[in-house]
Amino acid sequence: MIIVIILEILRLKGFVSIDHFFGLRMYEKNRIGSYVFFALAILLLLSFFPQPIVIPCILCACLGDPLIGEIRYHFGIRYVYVMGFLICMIFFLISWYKADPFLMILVGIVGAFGAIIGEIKKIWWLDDDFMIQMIPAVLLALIWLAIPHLGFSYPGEIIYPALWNW
Amino acid sequence: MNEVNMEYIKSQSNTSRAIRTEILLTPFLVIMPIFIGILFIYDWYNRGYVEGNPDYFGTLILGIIIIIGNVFFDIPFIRSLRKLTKNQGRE
Repeated sequence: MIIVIILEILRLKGFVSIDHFFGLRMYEKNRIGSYVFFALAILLLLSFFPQPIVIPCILCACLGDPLIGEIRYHFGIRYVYVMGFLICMIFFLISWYKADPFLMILVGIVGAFGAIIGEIKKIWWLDDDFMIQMIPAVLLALIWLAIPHLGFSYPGEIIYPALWNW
Repeated sequence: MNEVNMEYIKSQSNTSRAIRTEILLTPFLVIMPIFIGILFIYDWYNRGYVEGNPDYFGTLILGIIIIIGNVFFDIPFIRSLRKLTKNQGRE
């Protein structure tokens, strides 16, 4: 992450030519690249959030975001909201399938809503790759903190440490 | 954000280098996620299905999502790379 940030600073300061970077869009020419935001969001998620929040947020960024892009390209903006919401909701429902059904549905709706807001709301200085991960993560963290007060129990983990026996 | 801003920054050297790097990284980009997905399914099979432990159902679903999601994007990606290299060969 430090290397990525240093590289990006060197690019923005003009010490490294933009020809050495590819896949950058025009709006990223004088702004921090989206790959930095993507990496930073994943680093923050893995460092500070519990697994049931991290997994769906990463799935939203890795699979939901490109799927939404394809839907926008093939079907137009009208379908993005509904289809994107449903796709992201599936990721949240799957990740919280061990939770109480009410909590699972609440998380599915709130998480998908956050992800869609993060994807659709374009801010020049803050990339959607960051927003699509962090907005649902922050919203779900609030729910996570409220879980004991609501009388529910925390959902179990989905991925367990591997015991490869080969 | 307008259409122009969404376009990729292009220059002749940049584009050909980008394509070369993509071709070079293709095996890694394609195989790695599928390998991870298979590992998840293998983990579910060993510790969930064989031992009758339903806790690993999430691992199975995640493995399937990773594999299907990546295959969905890998096919057009490889197809476009093949098309591009064919076109370059003709020129």
